[in-house]
Amino acid sequence: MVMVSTLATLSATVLLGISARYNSMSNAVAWRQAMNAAESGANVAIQNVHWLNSGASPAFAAAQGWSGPDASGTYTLTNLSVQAGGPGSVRMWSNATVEAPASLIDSRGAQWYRVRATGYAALPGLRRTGDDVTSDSGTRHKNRLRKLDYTSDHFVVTYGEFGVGPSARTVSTPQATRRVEVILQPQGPWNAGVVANSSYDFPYVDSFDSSDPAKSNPDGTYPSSTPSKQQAHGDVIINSNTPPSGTIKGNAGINAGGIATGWGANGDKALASNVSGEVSNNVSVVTPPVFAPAWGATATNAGSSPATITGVGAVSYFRSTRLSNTTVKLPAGRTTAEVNIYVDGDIVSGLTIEPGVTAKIYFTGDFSMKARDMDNQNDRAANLQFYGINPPAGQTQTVTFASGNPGYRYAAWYAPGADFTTNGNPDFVGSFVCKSFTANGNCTLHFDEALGGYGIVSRYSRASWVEDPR
Amino acid sequence: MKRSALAASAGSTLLETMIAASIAGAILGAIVLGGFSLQRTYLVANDYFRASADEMLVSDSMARDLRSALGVTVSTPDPQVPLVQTLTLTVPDYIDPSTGNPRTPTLNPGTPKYGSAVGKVDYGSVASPLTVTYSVSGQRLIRQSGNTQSVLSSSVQNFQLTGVDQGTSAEMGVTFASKFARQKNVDTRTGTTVRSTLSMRNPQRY
Repeated sequence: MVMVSTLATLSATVLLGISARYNSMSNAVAWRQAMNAAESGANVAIQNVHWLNSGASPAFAAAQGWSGPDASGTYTLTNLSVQAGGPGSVRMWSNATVEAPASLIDSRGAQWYRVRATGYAALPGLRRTGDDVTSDSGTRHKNRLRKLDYTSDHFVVTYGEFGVGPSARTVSTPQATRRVEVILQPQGPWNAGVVANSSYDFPYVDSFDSSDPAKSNPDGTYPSSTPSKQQAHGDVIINSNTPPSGTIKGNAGINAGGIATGWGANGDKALASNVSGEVSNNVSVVTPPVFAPAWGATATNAGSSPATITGVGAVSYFRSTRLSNTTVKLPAGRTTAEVNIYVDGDIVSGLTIEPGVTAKIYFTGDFSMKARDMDNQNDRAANLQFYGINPPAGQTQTVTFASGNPGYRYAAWYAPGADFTTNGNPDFVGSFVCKSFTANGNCTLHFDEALGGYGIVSRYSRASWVEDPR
Repeated sequence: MKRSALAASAGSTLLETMIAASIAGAILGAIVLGGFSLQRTYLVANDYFRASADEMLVSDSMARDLRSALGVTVSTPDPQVPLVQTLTLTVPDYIDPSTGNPRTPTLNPGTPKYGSAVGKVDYGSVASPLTVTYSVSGQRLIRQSGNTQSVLSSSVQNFQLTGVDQGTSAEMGVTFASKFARQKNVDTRTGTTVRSTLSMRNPQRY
């Protein structure tokens, strides 16, 4: 009996010890899985931010578990099932919020998004914290790292979220809980001097920043007479394997798949002495096509070749079948206004933008005039934005500037299906996204870095990722 | 012929007693040896689990910090001991200690590169960001964040950062002292090296 009792005690001790260790290990594994759940929730939220922008799919759909926006503009996702529980698998789920607070508008006026996602993994073992200690008995730190919720969600207790708290929200099952915060930066179309989908042959490109007095003239124009203010961020990206020609004060990249030889291979500038910055043969920039704006059908009809288009209120919408020698004017009594124009045809002969007007012009046809006749009187590229609607397959779209004592021409262009040709010697100020970009004369382009805060957002990139250490 | 009643109640012979005692002794000996073996198994299993717990704790702690790291620096405090390094991470100072809540970050749209905006997000002071260090003192692996210090393991032999790939991934290696030798001065194994590779989520800028 003594022996049997001794053996039973030993066995019980062994089982108890092993059980505690097993509990600890399974808790640790669940804690890791909670991160997978949190990142899954964040990824779903980020995708919905993309959909909100692109309209490719319904964003923040109630059928997918979303609610909102609430009074502060926050969208909330609750109980996203990441993994169903069952034999051999731990149940994982996630909650998330998407916010666009005023505090996340940057110095250029662009709105950033904040995604907070909390991941949960059900704890399979006993309601015990486990054995989260080191073998050093003097350094006990149970759960300093891994926070396990047995009675209440510790994030809800602390912050209050998902419509609860801050208060103790009883958890239905013990859970490991982790939370991440992701900041999304909008990617506008104009983050380089030129993005060309097929080819680039242009004499000279550099940069400046109209929003920074240290990098522009006091009035925000290009500092032609102050070389120290001129910048070298006039990047050129070609979404093909054709190297660029001309002087580039900035980085340059082509899309040759990172092959080991040739232009820009492994950053080699032997064949790219015209580039002041870095080079790469493994770069591409997505240039989503432009479609006719949804508001085009209901916009005010300005007819064909109107002499003037005068804005109405802060933001107004017009449509036309052709612009020719047209002047876009401010509404009476206003100092600034946004005027959107959908041109289902060509833009020719001349275009004038009065001071204070921000013109956003969508066009389906061609653009052709002398550079001097494109007169943006704001002397800011952001005040004249062109969006070239992609032509049908098999057709072309052209943008042609004829010569004629042009001076500085301020505009930002997003026309990914258009072929640009420049004659003469204009000094462009702005940015170009196009199919091809060529020049015959002694012209220049000065990329305005301030354009990063303007234009249609094509996507969002992750600017920051941080885990809440609570 | 009928056997007498006396014969039926007679005791065991000496030979029978010796055989029975031998069998009982063998059984008891097996039980005792089994007990010792069970205890030894328990101790080894206990050590194994504790070692694994240490390894997971170190791995999880470093993984959490590395994921959000904005900068990674590796140094070798003692050139004579190149396998013992110190890892310094610059991480977002997410929680405001004065309020206990997450900070609202400051945004810097940055200078675009290769057609993409490369913005910066800062939590807390840009000039004096929060750092976390992992260092080895004796056999202790110590994590220090601000003024808070914690010992993650007390059985570390080596600690090495084996690779940071262009600021996008990191591979860590930690060698733990053997825990399975039961006799002094006898190491049945030289140690267990745990390697972990993870993707860092933030661009490196410190």
